Amino acid sequence: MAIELVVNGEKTTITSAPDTPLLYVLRGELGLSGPKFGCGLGQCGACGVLSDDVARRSCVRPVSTFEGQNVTTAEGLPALWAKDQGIAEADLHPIQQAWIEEQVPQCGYCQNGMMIATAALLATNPNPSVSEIKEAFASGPLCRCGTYDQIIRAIQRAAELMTGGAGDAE
Amino acid sequence: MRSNNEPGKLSRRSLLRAGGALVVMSAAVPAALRPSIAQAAAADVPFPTPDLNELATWLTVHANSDVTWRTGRVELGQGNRTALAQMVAEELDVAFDKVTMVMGSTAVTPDQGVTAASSTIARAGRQARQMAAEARAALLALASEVLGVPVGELTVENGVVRSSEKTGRKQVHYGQLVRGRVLTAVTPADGQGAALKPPGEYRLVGRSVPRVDIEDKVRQKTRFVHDIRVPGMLHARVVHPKGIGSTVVSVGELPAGSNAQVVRVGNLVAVVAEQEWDAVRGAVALPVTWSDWNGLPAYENWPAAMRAIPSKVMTHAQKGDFDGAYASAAVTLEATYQTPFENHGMIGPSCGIADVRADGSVTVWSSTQYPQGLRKAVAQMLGIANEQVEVVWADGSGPYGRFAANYDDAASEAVFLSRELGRPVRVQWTRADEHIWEPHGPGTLHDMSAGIDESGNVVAWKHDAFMAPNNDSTMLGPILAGVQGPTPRKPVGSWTGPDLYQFPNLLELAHQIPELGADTSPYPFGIRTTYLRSPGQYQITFAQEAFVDEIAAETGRDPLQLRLNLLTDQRATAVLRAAAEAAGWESRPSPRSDASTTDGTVTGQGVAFVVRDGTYAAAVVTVEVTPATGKILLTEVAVAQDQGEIINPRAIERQITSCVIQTASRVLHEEVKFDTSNVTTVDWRSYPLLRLDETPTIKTVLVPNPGTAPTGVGEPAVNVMPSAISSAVFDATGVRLRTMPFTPEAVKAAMG
Repeated sequence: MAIELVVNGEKTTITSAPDTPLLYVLRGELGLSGPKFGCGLGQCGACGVLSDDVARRSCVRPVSTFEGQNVTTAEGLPALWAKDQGIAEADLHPIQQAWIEEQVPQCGYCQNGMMIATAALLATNPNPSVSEIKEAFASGPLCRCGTYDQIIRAIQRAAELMTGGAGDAE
Repeated sequence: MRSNNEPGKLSRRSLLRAGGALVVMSAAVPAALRPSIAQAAAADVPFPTPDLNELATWLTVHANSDVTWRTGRVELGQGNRTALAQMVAEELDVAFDKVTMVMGSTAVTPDQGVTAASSTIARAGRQARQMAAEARAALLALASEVLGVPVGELTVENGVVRSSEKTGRKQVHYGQLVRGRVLTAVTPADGQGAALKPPGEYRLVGRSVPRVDIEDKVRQKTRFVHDIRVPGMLHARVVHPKGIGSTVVSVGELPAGSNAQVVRVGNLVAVVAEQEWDAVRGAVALPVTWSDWNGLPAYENWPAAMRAIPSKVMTHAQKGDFDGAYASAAVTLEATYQTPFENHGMIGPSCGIADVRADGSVTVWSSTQYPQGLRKAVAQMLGIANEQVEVVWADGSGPYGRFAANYDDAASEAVFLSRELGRPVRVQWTRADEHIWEPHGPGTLHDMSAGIDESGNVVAWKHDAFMAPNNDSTMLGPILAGVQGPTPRKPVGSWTGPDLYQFPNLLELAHQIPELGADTSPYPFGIRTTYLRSPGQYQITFAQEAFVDEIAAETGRDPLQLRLNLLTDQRATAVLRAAAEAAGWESRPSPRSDASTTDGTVTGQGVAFVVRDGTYAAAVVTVEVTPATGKILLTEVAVAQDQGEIINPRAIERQITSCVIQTASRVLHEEVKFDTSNVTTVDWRSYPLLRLDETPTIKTVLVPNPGTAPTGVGEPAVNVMPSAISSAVFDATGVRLRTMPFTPEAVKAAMG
């Protein structure tokens, strides 16, 4: 029984077994590399994806539970922003723009999950304070390189770009 | 070697570049090899003989004015790719974006040693500068001929050589000078080459140039080793031994209907499949019976067990007569400090791919910190020549020493699985594999003694350390497969760093303890321990700096002032003063007069100092302690650092921030635990990391020192965190924490 879902805006029919965690479908069957394998336990958040506007840890959730949903990986953030803004395409999502401006990544392995978690936070709280950011990220995702300080700055910069409209496509 | 050695397989980029080049190499490259290396470098194809020593490096100026610098050093996520390119572009006077760094892969870069110990800018950076200066001098000489103008009348900007007004304002591009020919230049030994640019003329060095790798990482275009897929590749999960010294008794069968296959080579047991999830499920389901092995001490007994093992004692430093001075001191102090076994804690567990082909050639894809080292190790474990092995380096999860002595366990396992199956195999470790089997940071003990005279001067100082090894180089692949691999290094725990305090009678000893369990294991290791960010120094400085604070408290002095009195090196006192100023240090003895272990929340300040990798760092940490819960919250950390010449200020500040946050995690939360058989901290719940909500406000001060050569910035600030936190808690509560980690449970217990 094939499963259908929308991945980064494209309707996709999945051939993997329904109990396969979404992460292995995204990386294996669909060839995406944004969502990363970090723990397979739903603890670290490196595998984060958006399911509609909610951040989900794709390493532990079977693909069947995403049937019919809109799944966005970090690769799909620009298209998501374009759709939100009603424009044809965007080069970068403002969150990505902020991540570059603030020079956030060190090794970069966890940053997919960080940007996805940021998108989920800003969907519910478009202008979070530092303490609200800390509260939202108190259960991860995890970073080993110590980029939390830059992440906090980048989230606030992304909020600015998104609410001020300055983060428009080129 | 790989097929891209064949002329028919040259990339389009290579063909475009084949229009000529200037290739600069060091005098260490044998003269007979120079022409063929120059041809290969000019065409951007693999070198005929990449097996050269660490001084051999290549810089190429192409006919389109692009510049390529090849380095055996690798990017670990700390920005050295950018800083090295800045240094090359600066010396050559070309635009920053004209410089391409080729890193790591063994077919196209030289052996420049392991990327570790914050040494890349200091060592490889110096080589890069010299190469670039040599290239610039050679290009100016060429331009002088071509333009008919003396070198003294020429200037360079963005790769264009221009003559002065009086010589007719002629110009020529670097690319034009090399078009249609392959030229070579050779740099003589250090210090004898072309003159380097005076720092006053820098336009790129010293600026916060954006890191070249960040945009790709944000766009998800970086291909981590975990993302690499090779045609025909199988996915593997290794089923590791139950105990550290367990061997296979029997291997059962996969459940009916599994799409996976079991591979066994000695004690190397793996499940492989076309689809990754089939391998994951198979490995979970496969019944393997392992021998019982219980060679580790009970966890709470490891300190006693380490003391009981006969060990070699190394004298790190000895001055005057400690015993005599201690015996006649007016006051004596003694304390024991302890640091736990720790994880590197890569967010992406180890991953490596190997393709062992029928013709005997091998390609390995790895995020190792030492590609040439891995290449030699793979050749040794397969009993083949170095020339038959190519290591392709790829970005990885921040390793922090994980792959500095142990070059890559997963890749070494993939080698044997690929040899068995005749197909490329990708080994991805699970979270539990990484937490259990990574070579950990070593547990250590420190017996400290000080004698103080009647005026409060320290007259005797002794630091007696017991250290598990921090250089384990064993790789699991060959050991589990039961083959003769590379000979592991002799395990030792090292003591690093100069002693800057001027104690008249001093004795510093290190008991070099073998790995726990190694005596009864069938394998050449016990609980494996290796380099972890600032190895040795991190533990030593914790005990040393915290004990200096104990002396300050005993003698009623301000801990900052005591250090300023003891230190004569002006770089040391300058960073201490700068950190204190940034933090608003309150000059007074610790603990504060209203210190308490019963109030709701108490605050305190702590200071620490270190010299690491030639860099001077000082930190002032401010904490909030809640005695009832035992929770320590770092509210502010100020770090001042003197690293000599500053290449990229923002990249340095980021490294300081990284050191502060990562080390706060180690100090407050991290501890590898084990039972008598194996490690029991298997995931992020049993071995938690600091989370974003615990991020302190961080202030960084880069103390200017442009006249001194640049030194490492990836490690120094690590070392000042543990003791500064311990001392800040002491300031707030009057209770001295001497055993890491300072978890809420430990803090509550210490508060009594």
